[in-house]
Amino acid sequence: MLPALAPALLVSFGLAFARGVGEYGSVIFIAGNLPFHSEIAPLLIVQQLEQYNYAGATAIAATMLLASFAVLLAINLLQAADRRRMAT
Amino acid sequence: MSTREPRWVRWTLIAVALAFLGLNLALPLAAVFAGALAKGLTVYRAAVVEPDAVAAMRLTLTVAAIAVPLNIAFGLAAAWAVTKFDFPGKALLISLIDLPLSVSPVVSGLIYVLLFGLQGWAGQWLRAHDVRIIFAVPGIVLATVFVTFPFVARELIPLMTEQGRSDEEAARSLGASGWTTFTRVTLPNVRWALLYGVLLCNARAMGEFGAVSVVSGHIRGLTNTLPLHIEILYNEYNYVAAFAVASLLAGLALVTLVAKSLLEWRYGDQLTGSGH
Amino acid sequence: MTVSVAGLTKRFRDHTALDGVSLDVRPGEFLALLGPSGSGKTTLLRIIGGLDFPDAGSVTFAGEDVAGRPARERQVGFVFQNYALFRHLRVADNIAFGLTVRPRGLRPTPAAIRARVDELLALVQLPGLGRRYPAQLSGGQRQRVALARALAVDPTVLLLDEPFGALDAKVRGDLRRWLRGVHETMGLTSIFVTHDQDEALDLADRVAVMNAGRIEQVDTPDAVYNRPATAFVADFIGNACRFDCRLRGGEVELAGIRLPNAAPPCGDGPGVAFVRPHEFDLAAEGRPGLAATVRRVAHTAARASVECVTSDGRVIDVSAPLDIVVRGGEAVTLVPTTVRAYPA
Repeated sequence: MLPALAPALLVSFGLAFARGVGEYGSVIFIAGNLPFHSEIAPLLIVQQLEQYNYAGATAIAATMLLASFAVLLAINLLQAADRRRMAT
Repeated sequence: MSTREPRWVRWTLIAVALAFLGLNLALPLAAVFAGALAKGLTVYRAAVVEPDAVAAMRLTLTVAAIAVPLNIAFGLAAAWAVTKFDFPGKALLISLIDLPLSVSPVVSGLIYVLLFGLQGWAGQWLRAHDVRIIFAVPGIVLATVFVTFPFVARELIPLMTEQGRSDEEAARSLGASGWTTFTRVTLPNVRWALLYGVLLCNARAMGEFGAVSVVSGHIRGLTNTLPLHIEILYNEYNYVAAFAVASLLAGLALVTLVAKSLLEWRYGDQLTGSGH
Repeated sequence: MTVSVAGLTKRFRDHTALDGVSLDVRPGEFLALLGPSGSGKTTLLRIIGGLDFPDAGSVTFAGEDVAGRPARERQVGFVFQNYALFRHLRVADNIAFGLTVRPRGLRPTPAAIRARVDELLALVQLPGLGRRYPAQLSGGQRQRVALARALAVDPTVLLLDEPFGALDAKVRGDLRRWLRGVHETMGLTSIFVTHDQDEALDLADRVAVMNAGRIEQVDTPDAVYNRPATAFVADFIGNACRFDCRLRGGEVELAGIRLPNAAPPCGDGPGVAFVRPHEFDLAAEGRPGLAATVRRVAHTAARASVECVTSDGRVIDVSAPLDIVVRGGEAVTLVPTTVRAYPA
């Protein structure tokens, strides 16, 4: 059963990962937000925005997006390779 | 369908699933209501009718009342375009529809700040025309629309794909106009999936924190939605009031869950399209 | 009403569905578009109905060019393969749909609509089922409702896409007879698509055999069966066996014997020959013809089916009269009695 589920599991993981990387609200309530210790990336973005440092905020956001995108892309490629393998 | 697993395996799996649900769903909800009523009903009532809280409620309801219908329209249009027609760039549109789900809410808000904020692309033009988007209600609405956009579309697209185009073609061949076909054939075919998507969209619209937090400016009584108001109360160590207001959202979550389950139970086959 | 198409071409991303197709359908005719999947017959039907548009060519109804008009404005009745009934509407509302979507000025009164629905329900032999929902009907009943719905708008042409494809054999047979009856009553020009040759030959006034986007032959069922114009038609119709042969002076040289060519005359040279299962004689071993061994004999239909294997391993099912006396393992010679051959 697991092999048949693998593609779906992979996509779910990708979405969950992207969502988890971006989650903000619930995390800042309980995290403590100590710099270099329990600070999450989205919080950094908000701090940069509060200081009107748009460039800094965008840089962090872009990095996060790239990371998520890379993971999703890798998963998509894996899926496509898997599909090709199954079709032969 | 009976399987050959021994009873203890089945019971263990069920126990694990229930424990997970209990830990992540029942316990937090119970904690919210317990914390809200910790100092009794009077304090609860006071927190809920406090002017800033009422303003936050009103704003949340207003935003949802604008964002949800907009997303119904967008979702229907997108699903209709994607499933009934072929055009170049269709695959790109489908990926774009899913985009808000995989992007951090903070980044979603950031997009609007970069577009419409004072230092943003349209910032100078907006200032010249005295139009306030960021740090005002329009910005909150926009951010909420962006973040909740996929919910309606994602419910409709698989169902409409599965239903195909023949119903619409039949209606056209019988002389119906595009609009008549849409209202009398397409919509009735997807009504329960649409309602389901609206439920999810509404729950997210009322509960959205990250994106709204970035664009709202946190002006008490003016640009604070319920989730933001809860954060303020919490940061002021006013825990009981925070839980009291949070219990409203928790109540909304419960209602949404119940409605969702009812729909799944009664119209399950029409949500995922196995009825043709 | 005459329906004509000329020079129709339609290309999809990776293949050509129609390649310069021309066809004239006579008024009141019941025409079948017959062919294997991918031959373009459904594409042709949809273009006639206005559900698809050609890359080149014209479509005319009674001499009037309708190519620019979408399906809405062509007054065609279309019956889909999967019926496409509106499942949230009752049967009566389904049938009335075409009438209820007419603009205010042209819409009949509710009473008139109800009368028409009752009339059509009677025509399709489903009286009293108006209040049911499609999900509560059998496949055959749904098909008849789909037809009633298409007829409600008084179409000038009736188009049917594999109307009996989804039904089982017994229901199919009954519905075939019934559809023929309806056609005779209404006299509408009708075109239907099928891949089932028995259906096409049984129902149609004329059959258009299609292959790879082209029409190979348009003729009466009798002509298509007995006088196939091309190798494809001879092959497709009637379960023929295909042989390589030589054409010489109007005769076919095949398996050591010479026969007159029952196909249209053609030049000399290598060719392909087609012999139908009932066009073989079973002769004793050693005679001129195809040497073969009998594998199985079945007496389960109106004629006996004799399964033979030739010396080069080819399996041929011969259809012989029931009083044939052969048994499994016997060596025989298959002698073709009629052969149709075409240039290779």
